[in-house]
Amino acid sequence: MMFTTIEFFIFLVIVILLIELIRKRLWQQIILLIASYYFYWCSGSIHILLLIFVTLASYLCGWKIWKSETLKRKRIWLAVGTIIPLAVLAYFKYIDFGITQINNVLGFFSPGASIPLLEVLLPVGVSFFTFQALSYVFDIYLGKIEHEEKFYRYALFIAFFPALVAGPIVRASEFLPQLKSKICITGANLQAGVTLIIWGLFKKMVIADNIGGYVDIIYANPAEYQSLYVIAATILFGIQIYCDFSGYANIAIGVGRIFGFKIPENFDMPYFTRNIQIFWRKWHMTLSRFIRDYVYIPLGGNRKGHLRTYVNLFASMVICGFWHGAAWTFIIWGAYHGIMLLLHRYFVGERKWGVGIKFLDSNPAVFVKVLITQALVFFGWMIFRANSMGDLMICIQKIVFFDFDFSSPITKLAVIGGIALVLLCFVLSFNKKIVELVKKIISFDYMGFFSSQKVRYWVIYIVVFVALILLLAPPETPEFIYFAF
Amino acid sequence: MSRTDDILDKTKRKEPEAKKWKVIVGITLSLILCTSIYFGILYFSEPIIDDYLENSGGYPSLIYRAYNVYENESADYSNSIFLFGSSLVNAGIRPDKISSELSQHGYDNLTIYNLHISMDTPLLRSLEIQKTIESSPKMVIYGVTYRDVVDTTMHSDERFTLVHDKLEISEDALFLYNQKELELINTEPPADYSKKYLLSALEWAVKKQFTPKTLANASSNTTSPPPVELDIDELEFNADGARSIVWHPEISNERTRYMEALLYNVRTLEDAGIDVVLINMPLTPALSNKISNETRQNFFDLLNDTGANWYDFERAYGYEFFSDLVHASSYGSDLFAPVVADIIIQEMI
Repeated sequence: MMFTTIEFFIFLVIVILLIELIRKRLWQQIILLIASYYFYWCSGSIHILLLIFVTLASYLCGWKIWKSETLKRKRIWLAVGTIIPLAVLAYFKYIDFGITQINNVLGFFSPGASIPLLEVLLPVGVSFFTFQALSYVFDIYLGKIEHEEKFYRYALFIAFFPALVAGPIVRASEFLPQLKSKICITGANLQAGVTLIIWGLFKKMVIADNIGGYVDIIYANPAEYQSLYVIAATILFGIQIYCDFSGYANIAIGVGRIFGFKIPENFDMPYFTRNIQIFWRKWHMTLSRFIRDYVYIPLGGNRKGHLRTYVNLFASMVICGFWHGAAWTFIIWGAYHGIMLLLHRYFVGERKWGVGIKFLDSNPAVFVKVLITQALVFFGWMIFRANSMGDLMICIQKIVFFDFDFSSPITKLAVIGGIALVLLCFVLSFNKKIVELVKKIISFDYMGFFSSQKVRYWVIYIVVFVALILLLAPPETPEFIYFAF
Repeated sequence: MSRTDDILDKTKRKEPEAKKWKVIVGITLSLILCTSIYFGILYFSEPIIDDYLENSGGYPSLIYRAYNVYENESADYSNSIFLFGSSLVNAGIRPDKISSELSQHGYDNLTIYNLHISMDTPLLRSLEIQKTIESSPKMVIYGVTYRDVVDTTMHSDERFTLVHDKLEISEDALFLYNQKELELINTEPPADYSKKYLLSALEWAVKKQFTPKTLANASSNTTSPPPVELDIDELEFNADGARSIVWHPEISNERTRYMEALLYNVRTLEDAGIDVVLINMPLTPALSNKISNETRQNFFDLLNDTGANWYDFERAYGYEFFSDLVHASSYGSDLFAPVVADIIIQEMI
């Protein structure tokens, strides 16, 4: 059941009505749990058993860690609680990728020899709910949270339907305390939630889905297009993935908000960041902090010397890339960002390049920094989007060896227009008042603005955006990109 | 303070919390309102969308054009030749040029219908075979190439959905389609499917309004153009990098549903008494070099198995024939027209 379907909204209205009718906290939470399982059943059918298994296993391990009196026993249960979700993830997500790699090696030594693929179907949201389960086990071990006494509450934390299939990755310490009070659907929460849902639907169905069609055509066969088209498709894909994923997050947060739950933000204007380190603090924030807290820091973080810090950083980003999908392009994408972070840390963090030079903090310099950072990020999107390693090589060739045909007026217009726009922005960046205004416009809380309006004005927002969604969304809405992860 | 600053600072002035019933009423009313706006716009823009679908010359109109020919009950196609195939056929086999060649040989009574559809494959064309039989043309010239019988995953839902109410598929063809395609065949498209074309239709309507007629007719120039100067290095680079399944197709001797579709199309038409002539379309040397001998042989075997007469022009021309990596130029189609005309005459004798 996708957020973009009418079935989902009927489902949501029924759940809201039930929660409104049942005033008892226990039953409200049970209704939400049943609704979440039903939602998952509609999305992933038989894989619901997997969700229940991961929930039971991680709950049991968390309880055992909590009860264990010796560190050794705690560690044993931590290992069990880590291995089970990871094994589930490894089997369902990576097994066929692993077999393919083995077959490649086997084929090198003895042509014709191969292990048949298992063709395992990827359960929807497996990367997200296994990570939530892991965070619970880790947090109990680290003493950050207590064991949740009520199993149904823990099960609701893992299966809460708005964030179940594509995040944001919520931590037990953020969600479980919210279950201590009764669910009360207020007018303000309803207004804020609906505002976010509509904005998320607009981003997904109008922006991302319409852009996606063009991106798909070019990335289906990049060799047949000039460099400019490949670059344009890459930029469009950057916009598509942002609108798709942040649109999903908006809907998830909005639905949570209707029930009074606060689900953490996943994006904070990542395409306006001035270096790659800040980018990762603002892109898929809940995954970034998961990787930081449960991969980078346990590996030793920056506490074990320079070399080890770099290794840890790189390894964390490769894992982050691999988490996105079982393909070499994702691993390379992760490694690429790892190298970027590593270089940033070395030159800016350690060698202090540019630190203390006042000009580099001026607005024009910041503008250039943002441009360079985003150029690197968008190059990364090309790696991420390429359908295969072969296609990736073609795309890189296209960008390294430009094959612009400047005889075409469209190419001329695009190149000259693009350069003129960048130059204009650069010149304008010298004017402090303009920069301040742009910053204000960019960082303005539009959702807060719309949701705090009187209802009679607020309906204008709904009418305009819903009408735009109905008119401009393609007839068939593709799945959210992150459903595949 | 500027106006923008004033608007942006409004969030600081918190409005009192809205009452729940007011929010619910607001949501309900606004949903009713925007749904009415939506259907109102769709209703009033329907003629523009229909005009776009039928006459724009884009992909949907190619599909419509084919069905308009099939469904023209007053037409007699007994002296007609239908051209089937993809954009390769559209670029390489030009009905106007072939007609004038045929006229020179005394075949004035033949009419050629260009029923090419971009990205056509035998699997998609199989949807139209019953319609073609009902039209009973004298002959079908069917331009094919290697990639037509491999899974290029460039399937078009529009071939199923746009003409859903006109589809006529015989029971014995159903084995060709996969689950998704069968669903498309058996399920009514959504009522608001045409909204997909709303923006394109509006854009087209505006363009049509503002395009001077002299400009619109400028393309109907009949003088023979020179060959296009191509950057061969770039073409070869692109051919090297092109997605393997499309331009480096590998065809084995094992029958796939794509190959079965070609067999089905040709055999069914011939069984119905319609002559079919297959033409293995010219390819640029850059692409032709990517075809292995094994693939070529298997493809030829497939063409033989159709039982129809076929002609191989894959390597008949050099780069001067083409306007890009895959399509013939106007100069190329001029070269090809007498050849195709000769084939038609030979087949009719």
